Amino acid sequence: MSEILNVSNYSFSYDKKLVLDNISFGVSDSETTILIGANGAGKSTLIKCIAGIQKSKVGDITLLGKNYKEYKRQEFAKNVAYVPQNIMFESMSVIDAILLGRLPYFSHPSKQDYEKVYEIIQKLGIEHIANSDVQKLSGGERQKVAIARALVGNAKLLLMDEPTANLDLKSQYDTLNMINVLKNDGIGIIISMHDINHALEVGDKYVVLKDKKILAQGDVNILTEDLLHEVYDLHFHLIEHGNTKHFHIEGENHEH
Amino acid sequence: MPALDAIKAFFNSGAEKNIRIVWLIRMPRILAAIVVGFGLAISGHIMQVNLQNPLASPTSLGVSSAATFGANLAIIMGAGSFAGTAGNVLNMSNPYVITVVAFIFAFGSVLAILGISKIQNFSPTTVILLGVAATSLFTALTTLVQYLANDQALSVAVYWTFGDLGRASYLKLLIMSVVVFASFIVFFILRWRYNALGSGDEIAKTLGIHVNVLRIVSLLLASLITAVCVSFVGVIGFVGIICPQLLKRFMGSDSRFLLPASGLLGSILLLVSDDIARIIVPGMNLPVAAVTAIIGTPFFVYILLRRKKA
Repeated sequence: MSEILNVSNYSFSYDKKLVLDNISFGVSDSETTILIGANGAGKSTLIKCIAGIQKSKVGDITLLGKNYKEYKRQEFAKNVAYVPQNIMFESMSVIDAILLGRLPYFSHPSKQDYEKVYEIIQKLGIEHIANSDVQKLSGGERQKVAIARALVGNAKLLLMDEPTANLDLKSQYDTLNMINVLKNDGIGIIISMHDINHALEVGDKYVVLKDKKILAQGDVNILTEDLLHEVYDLHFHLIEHGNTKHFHIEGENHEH
Repeated sequence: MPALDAIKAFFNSGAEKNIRIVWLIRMPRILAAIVVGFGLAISGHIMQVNLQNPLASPTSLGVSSAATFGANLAIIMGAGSFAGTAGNVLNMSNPYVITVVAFIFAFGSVLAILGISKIQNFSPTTVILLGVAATSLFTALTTLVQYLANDQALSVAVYWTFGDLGRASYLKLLIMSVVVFASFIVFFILRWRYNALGSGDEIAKTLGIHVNVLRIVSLLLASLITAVCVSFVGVIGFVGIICPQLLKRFMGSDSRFLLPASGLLGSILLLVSDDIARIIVPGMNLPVAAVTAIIGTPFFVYILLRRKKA
Protein backbone atom coordinates (compact mmCIF):
# COMPACT_ATOMS: atom_id res chain seq x y z
CA MET A 1 0.00 0.00 0.00
CA SER A 2 1.19 3.51 -0.71
CA GLU A 3 -0.05 6.83 0.56
CA ILE A 4 -2.26 8.68 -1.94
CA LEU A 5 -3.55 11.53 0.21
CA ASN A 6 -1.90 13.52 2.95
CA VAL A 7 -3.64 16.21 4.98
CA SER A 8 -1.18 18.28 6.97
CA ASN A 9 -1.91 20.93 9.64
CA TYR A 10 -5.08 21.84 7.76
CA SER A 11 -7.53 24.38 9.17
CA PHE A 12 -10.69 25.77 7.60
CA SER A 13 -12.86 28.74 8.57
CA TYR A 14 -16.30 29.68 7.27
CA ASP A 15 -17.47 33.27 7.78
CA LYS A 16 -14.51 33.78 10.13
CA LYS A 17 -15.68 30.85 12.27
CA LEU A 18 -13.19 28.02 12.69
CA VAL A 19 -14.71 24.74 11.44
CA LEU A 20 -11.61 22.52 11.16
CA ASP A 21 -8.61 23.01 13.44
CA ASN A 22 -5.14 21.69 12.59
CA ILE A 23 -6.16 18.42 10.91
CA SER A 24 -3.43 15.93 9.90
CA PHE A 25 -3.86 12.39 8.58
CA GLY A 26 -2.99 10.22 5.58
CA VAL A 27 -4.88 7.78 3.35
CA SER A 28 -3.41 4.85 1.40
CA ASP A 29 -4.73 2.97 -1.60
CA SER A 30 -6.86 -0.14 -0.96
CA GLU A 31 -7.77 1.35 2.39
CA THR A 32 -11.04 2.71 3.78
CA THR A 33 -10.75 5.56 6.24
CA ILE A 34 -13.81 6.43 8.27
CA LEU A 35 -14.40 9.90 9.71
CA ILE A 36 -16.33 9.52 12.94
CA GLY A 37 -17.87 12.29 14.99
CA ALA A 38 -21.08 13.81 16.25
CA ASN A 39 -23.04 16.30 14.13
CA GLY A 40 -21.10 19.54 13.79
CA ALA A 41 -17.73 17.92 14.46
CA GLY A 42 -16.56 18.90 10.97
CA LYS A 43 -16.82 15.56 9.09
CA SER A 44 -18.76 16.85 6.07
CA THR A 45 -16.62 20.00 5.83
CA LEU A 46 -13.45 17.91 5.87
CA ILE A 47 -14.85 15.69 3.09
CA LYS A 48 -15.74 18.81 1.05
CA CYS A 49 -12.25 20.27 1.56
CA ILE A 50 -10.69 17.03 0.36
CA ALA A 51 -13.14 17.01 -2.59
CA GLY A 52 -11.88 20.49 -3.56
CA ILE A 53 -15.31 22.06 -3.02
CA GLN A 54 -14.14 24.16 -0.06
CA LYS A 55 -10.68 25.70 0.04
CA SER A 56 -8.42 26.99 2.78
CA LYS A 57 -5.07 28.72 2.79
CA VAL A 58 -4.07 27.24 6.14
CA GLY A 59 -2.25 23.91 5.89
CA ASP A 60 -1.70 21.58 2.95
CA ILE A 61 -3.35 18.67 1.23
CA THR A 62 -1.33 16.59 -1.20
CA LEU A 63 -2.76 14.03 -3.62
CA LEU A 64 -0.38 11.50 -5.21
CA GLY A 65 2.51 13.63 -3.94
CA LYS A 66 1.26 16.85 -5.56
CA ASN A 67 -0.15 19.79 -3.62
CA TYR A 68 -3.83 20.58 -4.25
CA LYS A 69 -2.88 24.14 -5.21
CA GLU A 70 -0.87 22.83 -8.19
CA TYR A 71 -3.75 20.86 -9.71
CA LYS A 72 -5.84 22.13 -12.60
CA ARG A 73 -9.52 21.52 -11.95
CA GLN A 74 -10.03 18.86 -14.63
CA GLU A 75 -6.86 16.96 -13.73
CA PHE A 76 -7.98 17.03 -10.09
CA ALA A 77 -11.47 15.83 -11.04
CA LYS A 78 -9.98 12.78 -12.77
CA ASN A 79 -8.39 11.69 -9.50
CA VAL A 80 -10.93 12.55 -6.81
CA ALA A 81 -14.60 11.51 -6.87
CA TYR A 82 -17.32 12.58 -4.46
CA VAL A 83 -20.69 11.11 -3.48
CA PRO A 84 -22.71 13.68 -1.50
CA GLN A 85 -25.19 12.93 1.26
CA ASN A 86 -28.12 14.45 -0.63
CA ILE A 87 -28.06 13.06 -4.13
CA MET A 88 -29.73 15.14 -6.85
CA PHE A 89 -30.14 14.26 -10.50
CA GLU A 90 -31.89 15.96 -13.38
CA SER A 91 -34.47 13.81 -15.13
CA MET A 92 -32.37 11.64 -17.49
CA SER A 93 -31.48 8.00 -18.09
CA VAL A 94 -29.18 6.17 -15.68
CA ILE A 95 -26.64 5.74 -18.51
CA ASP A 96 -26.53 9.50 -19.17
CA ALA A 97 -26.40 10.29 -15.43
CA ILE A 98 -23.37 8.01 -15.00
CA LEU A 99 -21.78 9.42 -18.16
CA LEU A 100 -21.54 12.80 -16.38
CA GLY A 101 -18.72 11.24 -14.33
CA ARG A 102 -16.64 11.19 -17.54
CA LEU A 103 -16.98 15.00 -17.94
CA PRO A 104 -13.33 15.63 -16.96
CA TYR A 105 -12.46 13.65 -20.11
CA PHE A 106 -14.85 14.94 -22.78
CA SER A 107 -16.81 17.79 -24.36
CA HIS A 108 -18.70 15.26 -26.46
CA PRO A 109 -18.74 11.64 -25.21
CA SER A 110 -16.86 9.05 -27.27
CA LYS A 111 -17.50 5.32 -27.72
CA GLN A 112 -14.85 4.71 -25.06
CA ASP A 113 -16.74 6.86 -22.56
CA TYR A 114 -19.91 4.80 -23.13
CA GLU A 115 -17.89 1.57 -22.78
CA LYS A 116 -16.64 2.74 -19.39
CA VAL A 117 -20.25 3.44 -18.35
CA TYR A 118 -21.41 -0.07 -19.37
CA GLU A 119 -18.41 -1.56 -17.56
CA ILE A 120 -19.31 0.16 -14.27
CA ILE A 121 -23.03 -0.67 -14.68
CA GLN A 122 -22.13 -4.36 -14.92
CA LYS A 123 -19.71 -4.16 -12.03
CA LEU A 124 -22.31 -2.64 -9.70
CA GLY A 125 -25.06 -4.96 -10.99
CA ILE A 126 -27.46 -2.21 -12.07
CA GLU A 127 -28.09 -3.37 -15.65
CA HIS A 128 -31.83 -3.70 -14.92
CA ILE A 129 -32.19 0.06 -14.31
CA ALA A 130 -29.74 1.26 -17.01
CA ASN A 131 -32.42 2.86 -19.17
CA SER A 132 -34.69 4.07 -16.34
CA ASP A 133 -35.20 7.73 -15.49
CA VAL A 134 -32.82 8.36 -12.60
CA GLN A 135 -35.34 10.65 -10.88
CA LYS A 136 -37.82 7.79 -10.61
CA LEU A 137 -35.46 5.39 -8.79
CA SER A 138 -35.53 4.49 -5.09
CA GLY A 139 -33.04 6.10 -2.68
CA GLY A 140 -30.84 2.98 -2.68
CA GLU A 141 -30.78 2.76 -6.48
CA ARG A 142 -29.95 6.45 -6.81
CA GLN A 143 -27.12 5.91 -4.33
CA LYS A 144 -25.73 3.20 -6.61
CA VAL A 145 -25.99 5.49 -9.65
CA ALA A 146 -24.17 8.25 -7.73
CA ILE A 147 -21.40 5.78 -6.80
CA ALA A 148 -21.23 4.61 -10.43
CA ARG A 149 -20.94 8.24 -11.59
CA ALA A 150 -18.12 8.77 -9.10
CA LEU A 151 -16.23 5.66 -10.19
CA VAL A 152 -16.62 5.91 -13.97
CA GLY A 153 -13.87 8.55 -14.13
CA ASN A 154 -11.25 6.09 -12.71
CA ALA A 155 -10.62 8.21 -9.61
CA LYS A 156 -7.86 7.18 -7.21
CA LEU A 157 -9.72 8.56 -4.21
CA LEU A 158 -13.44 8.14 -3.48
CA LEU A 159 -15.13 10.41 -0.93
CA MET A 160 -18.54 9.57 0.49
CA ASP A 161 -20.56 11.71 2.86
CA GLU A 162 -22.88 9.61 5.06
CA PRO A 163 -23.58 7.01 2.35
CA THR A 164 -25.92 4.91 4.52
CA ALA A 165 -27.98 7.78 5.92
CA ASN A 166 -31.53 8.02 4.50
CA LEU A 167 -31.42 4.46 3.10
CA ASP A 168 -33.57 1.47 4.00
CA LEU A 169 -31.91 -1.55 5.66
CA LYS A 170 -31.42 -3.55 2.45
CA SER A 171 -29.85 -0.56 0.66
CA GLN A 172 -27.58 0.10 3.65
CA TYR A 173 -26.39 -3.51 3.48
CA ASP A 174 -25.84 -3.31 -0.32
CA THR A 175 -23.90 -0.04 0.01
CA LEU A 176 -21.59 -1.43 2.71
CA ASN A 177 -20.91 -4.52 0.58
CA MET A 178 -20.19 -2.34 -2.44
CA ILE A 179 -17.67 -0.28 -0.47
CA ASN A 180 -15.76 -3.42 0.47
CA VAL A 181 -15.68 -4.53 -3.18
CA LEU A 182 -14.35 -1.13 -4.30
CA LYS A 183 -11.55 -1.17 -1.75
CA ASN A 184 -10.25 -4.38 -3.31
CA ASP A 185 -9.88 -2.50 -6.62
CA GLY A 186 -7.02 -0.51 -5.14
CA ILE A 187 -8.65 2.90 -4.64
CA GLY A 188 -8.49 4.88 -1.42
CA ILE A 189 -11.84 5.60 0.22
CA ILE A 190 -12.80 8.20 2.83
CA ILE A 191 -16.27 8.00 4.32
CA SER A 192 -17.94 10.17 6.91
CA MET A 193 -20.30 8.13 9.08
CA HIS A 194 -22.13 8.63 12.30
CA ASP A 195 -23.25 4.99 12.64
CA ILE A 196 -20.36 3.35 14.46
CA ASN A 197 -21.42 -0.22 13.60
CA HIS A 198 -21.59 0.59 9.87
CA ALA A 199 -18.13 2.10 10.22
CA LEU A 200 -16.84 -1.15 11.74
CA GLU A 201 -18.18 -3.12 8.74
CA VAL A 202 -16.07 -1.26 6.19
CA GLY A 203 -13.31 0.67 7.99
CA ASP A 204 -9.59 -0.07 8.00
CA LYS A 205 -8.65 3.15 9.69
CA TYR A 206 -10.60 5.62 11.80
CA VAL A 207 -10.23 9.37 12.26
CA VAL A 208 -12.29 10.55 15.21
CA LEU A 209 -13.31 14.23 15.19
CA LYS A 210 -14.60 16.28 18.07
CA ASP A 211 -14.98 20.04 18.32
CA LYS A 212 -13.26 20.65 14.94
CA LYS A 213 -10.13 18.68 15.95
CA ILE A 214 -8.90 15.13 15.59
CA LEU A 215 -9.42 13.39 18.91
CA ALA A 216 -7.86 10.07 17.89
CA GLN A 217 -6.82 8.16 14.80
CA GLY A 218 -5.68 4.64 14.05
CA ASP A 219 -7.01 1.13 13.45
CA VAL A 220 -10.08 -0.45 15.02
CA ASN A 221 -8.34 -0.80 18.40
CA ILE A 222 -8.63 2.93 19.07
CA LEU A 223 -12.42 2.61 19.19
CA THR A 224 -13.08 2.08 22.85
CA GLU A 225 -16.20 2.56 24.95
CA ASP A 226 -14.61 5.58 26.66
CA LEU A 227 -13.62 7.27 23.39
CA LEU A 228 -17.10 6.85 21.91
CA HIS A 229 -18.66 8.11 25.13
CA GLU A 230 -16.51 11.24 24.82
CA VAL A 231 -17.50 11.72 21.17
CA TYR A 232 -21.23 11.05 21.31
CA ASP A 233 -22.03 11.61 25.00
CA LEU A 234 -23.70 8.17 25.05
CA HIS A 235 -22.77 4.97 26.85
CA PHE A 236 -21.54 2.23 24.52
CA HIS A 237 -21.07 -1.42 25.36
CA LEU A 238 -18.52 -3.34 23.25
CA ILE A 239 -19.49 -6.85 22.16
CA GLU A 240 -16.72 -8.94 20.54
CA HIS A 241 -17.23 -12.15 18.55
CA GLY A 242 -13.80 -13.44 17.51
CA ASN A 243 -12.38 -10.74 15.22
CA THR A 244 -15.59 -8.78 14.85
CA LYS A 245 -16.57 -5.88 17.06
CA HIS A 246 -20.00 -4.45 17.66
CA PHE A 247 -21.09 -1.59 19.88
CA HIS A 248 -24.39 -1.60 21.70
CA ILE A 249 -25.74 1.75 22.89
CA GLU A 250 -26.96 1.66 26.45
CA GLY A 251 -29.32 4.06 28.22
CA GLU A 252 -27.84 7.47 28.90
CA ASN A 253 -28.13 7.06 32.68
CA HIS A 254 -26.77 3.52 32.73
CA GLU A 255 -23.56 3.15 34.72
CA HIS A 256 -21.18 0.33 33.82
CA MET B 1 -54.57 38.88 -49.23
CA PRO B 2 -55.80 35.58 -50.68
CA ALA B 3 -53.46 32.63 -50.14
CA LEU B 4 -52.82 32.14 -53.85
CA ASP B 5 -51.78 35.79 -54.26
CA ALA B 6 -49.48 35.46 -51.27
CA ILE B 7 -47.83 32.34 -52.74
CA LYS B 8 -47.39 34.11 -56.08
CA ALA B 9 -45.92 37.14 -54.35
CA PHE B 10 -43.55 34.86 -52.41
CA PHE B 11 -42.14 33.74 -55.77
CA ASN B 12 -41.94 37.35 -56.94
CA SER B 13 -44.86 37.16 -59.36
CA GLY B 14 -48.28 38.77 -59.31
CA ALA B 15 -49.10 42.33 -58.27
CA GLU B 16 -46.17 44.56 -57.25
CA LYS B 17 -48.14 45.67 -54.18
CA ASN B 18 -48.53 42.06 -53.03
CA ILE B 19 -44.82 41.36 -53.53
CA ARG B 20 -43.97 44.38 -51.42
CA ILE B 21 -46.42 43.34 -48.69
CA VAL B 22 -45.08 39.77 -48.57
CA TRP B 23 -41.38 40.62 -48.69
CA LEU B 24 -41.25 43.92 -46.81
CA ILE B 25 -44.00 43.41 -44.20
CA ARG B 26 -44.98 39.74 -43.80
CA MET B 27 -41.60 38.00 -44.19
CA PRO B 28 -39.63 40.13 -41.69
CA ARG B 29 -42.50 39.61 -39.26
CA ILE B 30 -42.55 35.81 -39.73
CA LEU B 31 -38.76 35.54 -39.51
CA ALA B 32 -38.78 37.79 -36.42
CA ALA B 33 -41.30 35.46 -34.74
CA ILE B 34 -39.05 32.48 -35.51
CA VAL B 35 -35.81 34.13 -34.33
CA VAL B 36 -37.23 35.95 -31.28
CA GLY B 37 -39.31 32.92 -30.19
CA PHE B 38 -36.28 30.64 -30.51
CA GLY B 39 -34.03 33.14 -28.72
CA LEU B 40 -36.33 33.84 -25.78
CA ALA B 41 -37.08 30.14 -25.25
CA ILE B 42 -33.41 29.04 -25.20
CA SER B 43 -32.60 32.05 -23.03
CA GLY B 44 -35.33 30.89 -20.61
CA HIS B 45 -33.96 27.36 -20.47
CA ILE B 46 -30.42 28.60 -19.82
CA MET B 47 -31.66 30.95 -17.08
CA GLN B 48 -33.62 28.12 -15.41
CA VAL B 49 -30.65 25.74 -15.51
CA ASN B 50 -28.09 28.27 -14.30
CA LEU B 51 -30.27 29.91 -11.66
CA GLN B 52 -31.58 26.48 -10.60
CA ASN B 53 -35.10 27.82 -10.53
CA PRO B 54 -37.98 26.65 -12.78
CA LEU B 55 -39.57 30.10 -12.61
CA ALA B 56 -36.49 31.91 -13.89
CA SER B 57 -37.05 33.62 -17.24
CA PRO B 58 -35.09 35.51 -19.90
CA THR B 59 -35.92 38.68 -17.97
CA SER B 60 -34.80 37.42 -14.54
CA LEU B 61 -31.87 39.84 -14.60
CA GLY B 62 -34.14 42.85 -15.01
CA VAL B 63 -33.57 43.05 -18.78
CA SER B 64 -37.13 43.91 -19.84
CA SER B 65 -37.80 46.60 -17.27
CA ALA B 66 -34.37 48.16 -17.86
CA ALA B 67 -34.95 48.17 -21.64
CA THR B 68 -38.43 49.64 -21.13
CA PHE B 69 -36.99 52.40 -18.99
CA GLY B 70 -34.25 53.11 -21.55
CA ALA B 71 -36.75 53.23 -24.40
CA ASN B 72 -39.17 55.42 -22.41
CA LEU B 73 -36.36 57.79 -21.50
CA ALA B 74 -35.20 58.05 -25.13
CA ILE B 75 -38.76 58.59 -26.37
CA ILE B 76 -39.57 61.25 -23.82
CA MET B 77 -36.21 62.99 -24.36
CA GLY B 78 -37.17 63.42 -28.00
CA ALA B 79 -36.32 60.28 -29.96
CA GLY B 80 -39.92 59.26 -30.06
CA SER B 81 -41.63 62.54 -30.71
CA PHE B 82 -45.04 62.06 -32.26
CA ALA B 83 -44.66 61.61 -35.98
CA GLY B 84 -48.17 60.82 -37.06
CA THR B 85 -50.26 57.70 -37.27
CA ALA B 86 -50.51 54.90 -39.74
CA GLY B 87 -53.85 53.21 -39.24
CA ASN B 88 -54.04 52.69 -35.50
CA VAL B 89 -50.27 52.50 -35.06
CA LEU B 90 -48.17 55.31 -33.67
CA ASN B 91 -44.82 55.97 -35.32
CA MET B 92 -41.53 56.68 -33.65
CA SER B 93 -39.41 59.36 -35.23
CA ASN B 94 -36.06 57.78 -34.41
CA PRO B 95 -36.46 54.06 -33.63
CA TYR B 96 -32.74 53.25 -33.77
CA VAL B 97 -31.88 55.70 -30.99
CA ILE B 98 -34.64 54.13 -28.90
CA THR B 99 -33.30 50.65 -29.62
CA VAL B 100 -29.72 51.59 -28.73
CA VAL B 101 -30.70 53.32 -25.47
CA ALA B 102 -32.98 50.39 -24.53
CA PHE B 103 -30.13 47.96 -25.17
CA ILE B 104 -27.62 50.02 -23.16
CA PHE B 105 -29.91 50.00 -20.11
CA ALA B 106 -30.86 46.32 -20.54
CA PHE B 107 -27.33 45.03 -20.80
CA GLY B 108 -26.08 47.57 -18.24
CA SER B 109 -28.56 46.13 -15.75
CA VAL B 110 -27.23 42.62 -16.42
CA LEU B 111 -23.60 43.69 -15.96
CA ALA B 112 -24.46 45.56 -12.75
CA ILE B 113 -26.31 42.55 -11.30
CA LEU B 114 -23.50 40.13 -12.13
CA GLY B 115 -20.95 42.62 -10.76
CA ILE B 116 -22.79 42.99 -7.45
CA SER B 117 -23.54 39.27 -7.13
CA LYS B 118 -19.78 38.57 -7.30
CA ILE B 119 -19.72 39.59 -3.62
CA GLN B 120 -21.94 36.57 -2.85
CA ASN B 121 -19.93 34.30 -5.18
CA PHE B 122 -22.62 34.45 -7.90
CA SER B 123 -25.14 32.55 -5.80
CA PRO B 124 -28.30 31.89 -7.88
CA THR B 125 -30.52 33.22 -5.08
CA THR B 126 -28.57 36.49 -4.95
CA VAL B 127 -28.74 36.89 -8.74
CA ILE B 128 -32.52 36.29 -8.75
CA LEU B 129 -33.13 38.71 -5.86
CA LEU B 130 -30.97 41.40 -7.49
CA GLY B 131 -33.00 40.84 -10.68
CA VAL B 132 -36.20 41.42 -8.73
CA ALA B 133 -34.70 44.57 -7.18
CA ALA B 134 -33.58 45.87 -10.60
CA THR B 135 -37.04 45.19 -12.05
CA SER B 136 -38.69 47.16 -9.23
CA LEU B 137 -36.23 50.03 -9.61
CA PHE B 138 -36.62 50.35 -13.39
CA THR B 139 -40.40 49.98 -13.20
CA ALA B 140 -40.49 52.85 -10.69
CA LEU B 141 -38.19 54.98 -12.86
CA THR B 142 -40.36 54.25 -15.92
CA THR B 143 -43.45 55.39 -14.02
CA LEU B 144 -41.63 58.58 -13.05
CA VAL B 145 -40.51 59.30 -16.61
CA GLN B 146 -44.00 58.61 -17.98
CA TYR B 147 -45.53 60.88 -15.33
CA LEU B 148 -43.33 63.74 -16.52
CA ALA B 149 -43.98 63.14 -20.23
CA ASN B 150 -46.46 65.01 -22.43
CA ASP B 151 -49.46 63.14 -23.88
CA GLN B 152 -47.95 62.47 -27.29
CA ALA B 153 -44.61 61.19 -25.99
CA LEU B 154 -46.48 59.12 -23.41
CA SER B 155 -48.53 57.47 -26.18
CA VAL B 156 -45.38 56.51 -28.07
CA ALA B 157 -43.65 55.34 -24.85
CA VAL B 158 -46.58 53.13 -23.85
CA TYR B 159 -46.88 51.79 -27.39
CA TRP B 160 -43.18 50.83 -27.35
CA THR B 161 -43.73 48.52 -24.36
CA PHE B 162 -46.22 46.43 -26.38
CA GLY B 163 -44.11 43.78 -28.05
CA ASP B 164 -44.55 44.14 -31.80
CA LEU B 165 -42.85 41.87 -34.30
CA GLY B 166 -43.77 44.33 -37.04
CA ARG B 167 -40.85 46.52 -35.92
CA ALA B 168 -38.32 44.02 -37.26
CA SER B 169 -36.45 45.12 -40.39
CA TYR B 170 -34.04 42.87 -42.27
CA LEU B 171 -31.07 44.60 -40.60
CA LYS B 172 -32.56 44.04 -37.15
CA LEU B 173 -33.30 40.45 -38.12
CA LEU B 174 -29.70 39.90 -39.15
CA ILE B 175 -28.39 41.26 -35.83
CA MET B 176 -30.89 39.21 -33.80
CA SER B 177 -30.14 36.04 -35.80
CA VAL B 178 -26.38 36.36 -35.31
CA VAL B 179 -26.74 36.89 -31.55
CA VAL B 180 -29.37 34.13 -31.09
CA PHE B 181 -27.72 31.43 -33.17
CA ALA B 182 -24.12 32.15 -32.07
CA SER B 183 -25.31 31.93 -28.44
CA PHE B 184 -27.20 28.74 -29.24
CA ILE B 185 -24.01 27.13 -30.56
CA VAL B 186 -22.15 28.06 -27.35
CA PHE B 187 -25.03 26.71 -25.21
CA PHE B 188 -25.14 23.49 -27.22
CA ILE B 189 -21.40 22.94 -26.77
CA LEU B 190 -21.90 23.35 -23.01
CA ARG B 191 -24.97 21.03 -22.86
CA TRP B 192 -23.26 18.29 -20.81
CA ARG B 193 -22.05 20.88 -18.33
CA TYR B 194 -25.61 22.13 -17.86
CA ASN B 195 -26.69 18.55 -17.18
CA ALA B 196 -24.01 18.27 -14.49
CA LEU B 197 -25.15 21.57 -12.96
CA GLY B 198 -28.52 19.89 -12.37
CA SER B 199 -26.85 17.74 -9.70
CA GLY B 200 -25.84 20.88 -7.80
CA ASP B 201 -22.82 23.19 -7.80
CA GLU B 202 -20.78 20.89 -5.55
CA ILE B 203 -21.03 17.89 -7.87
CA ALA B 204 -20.40 20.10 -10.90
CA LYS B 205 -17.19 21.36 -9.27
CA THR B 206 -15.99 17.84 -8.51
CA LEU B 207 -16.60 16.95 -12.18
CA GLY B 208 -14.04 19.58 -13.18
CA ILE B 209 -16.44 22.40 -14.09
CA HIS B 210 -15.58 26.04 -13.33
CA VAL B 211 -19.10 26.69 -12.07
CA ASN B 212 -18.83 30.47 -11.71
CA VAL B 213 -17.30 30.91 -15.17
CA LEU B 214 -20.01 28.68 -16.70
CA ARG B 215 -22.73 30.62 -14.89
CA ILE B 216 -21.41 34.08 -15.85
CA VAL B 217 -20.91 33.20 -19.53
CA SER B 218 -24.35 31.55 -19.72
CA LEU B 219 -26.23 34.36 -17.96
CA LEU B 220 -24.45 37.01 -20.04
CA LEU B 221 -25.30 35.33 -23.35
CA ALA B 222 -28.88 34.51 -22.32
CA SER B 223 -29.38 38.13 -21.23
CA LEU B 224 -27.72 39.42 -24.41
CA ILE B 225 -30.28 37.50 -26.49
CA THR B 226 -33.12 38.99 -24.44
CA ALA B 227 -31.65 42.49 -24.47
CA VAL B 228 -31.28 42.48 -28.26
CA CYS B 229 -34.75 41.00 -28.87
CA VAL B 230 -36.52 43.29 -26.39
CA SER B 231 -34.69 46.37 -27.69
CA PHE B 232 -35.75 45.58 -31.28
CA VAL B 233 -39.32 44.30 -30.89
CA GLY B 234 -40.38 45.27 -27.36
CA VAL B 235 -41.30 43.19 -24.34
CA ILE B 236 -42.62 39.68 -25.07
CA GLY B 237 -43.19 37.69 -21.91
CA PHE B 238 -43.71 34.06 -20.97
CA VAL B 239 -42.28 32.38 -24.11
CA GLY B 240 -39.08 31.90 -22.13
CA ILE B 241 -40.83 30.28 -19.16
CA ILE B 242 -43.52 28.26 -20.91
CA CYS B 243 -41.48 26.46 -23.56
CA PRO B 244 -38.75 24.82 -21.42
CA GLN B 245 -41.16 24.07 -18.56
CA LEU B 246 -43.79 22.53 -20.83
CA LEU B 247 -41.27 20.33 -22.66
CA LYS B 248 -39.55 19.32 -19.43
CA ARG B 249 -42.73 17.48 -18.46
CA PHE B 250 -42.60 15.37 -21.60
CA MET B 251 -38.89 14.89 -22.31
CA GLY B 252 -37.03 15.34 -18.99
CA SER B 253 -34.38 17.93 -18.18
CA ASP B 254 -31.55 16.77 -20.44
CA SER B 255 -30.19 19.95 -22.07
CA ARG B 256 -29.04 17.99 -25.13
CA PHE B 257 -32.68 17.68 -26.16
CA LEU B 258 -34.46 20.33 -24.10
CA LEU B 259 -32.37 23.23 -25.42
CA PRO B 260 -33.09 22.82 -29.16
CA ALA B 261 -36.65 21.60 -28.52
CA SER B 262 -37.41 24.70 -26.39
CA GLY B 263 -36.12 26.91 -29.18
CA LEU B 264 -38.32 25.22 -31.78
CA LEU B 265 -41.40 25.41 -29.56
CA GLY B 266 -40.62 29.09 -28.87
CA SER B 267 -40.57 29.82 -32.61
CA ILE B 268 -43.85 27.98 -33.17
CA LEU B 269 -45.56 29.58 -30.15
CA LEU B 270 -44.59 33.11 -31.13
CA LEU B 271 -45.54 32.53 -34.76
CA VAL B 272 -48.98 31.22 -33.74
CA SER B 273 -49.44 33.96 -31.12
CA ASP B 274 -48.60 36.62 -33.71
CA ASP B 275 -51.06 35.13 -36.18
CA ILE B 276 -53.76 35.10 -33.51
CA ALA B 277 -52.86 38.69 -32.59
CA ARG B 278 -53.29 39.77 -36.20
CA ILE B 279 -56.52 37.95 -37.07
CA ILE B 280 -58.56 37.75 -33.86
CA VAL B 281 -59.88 41.32 -34.28
CA PRO B 282 -60.37 42.00 -38.02
CA GLY B 283 -58.46 45.02 -39.26
CA MET B 284 -56.45 45.39 -36.06
CA ASN B 285 -53.01 44.09 -35.00
CA LEU B 286 -53.17 43.29 -31.29
CA PRO B 287 -49.84 43.35 -29.43
CA VAL B 288 -48.30 39.86 -29.64
CA ALA B 289 -46.96 40.27 -26.08
CA ALA B 290 -50.56 40.40 -24.82
CA VAL B 291 -51.47 37.17 -26.61
CA THR B 292 -48.39 35.26 -25.33
CA ALA B 293 -49.00 36.60 -21.82
CA ILE B 294 -52.67 35.55 -21.91
CA ILE B 295 -51.61 32.04 -22.90
CA GLY B 296 -48.70 32.15 -20.43
CA THR B 297 -50.28 33.41 -17.23
CA PRO B 298 -52.46 30.36 -16.42
CA PHE B 299 -49.48 28.12 -17.10
CA PHE B 300 -47.25 30.22 -14.85
CA VAL B 301 -49.81 29.83 -12.03
CA TYR B 302 -49.94 26.07 -12.69
CA ILE B 303 -46.14 25.75 -12.29
CA LEU B 304 -46.27 27.85 -9.15
CA LEU B 305 -48.98 25.72 -7.53
CA ARG B 306 -47.43 22.45 -8.64
CA ARG B 307 -44.08 23.49 -7.15
CA LYS B 308 -45.74 24.45 -3.87
CA LYS B 309 -47.57 21.12 -3.73
CA ALA B 310 -44.28 19.25 -4.34
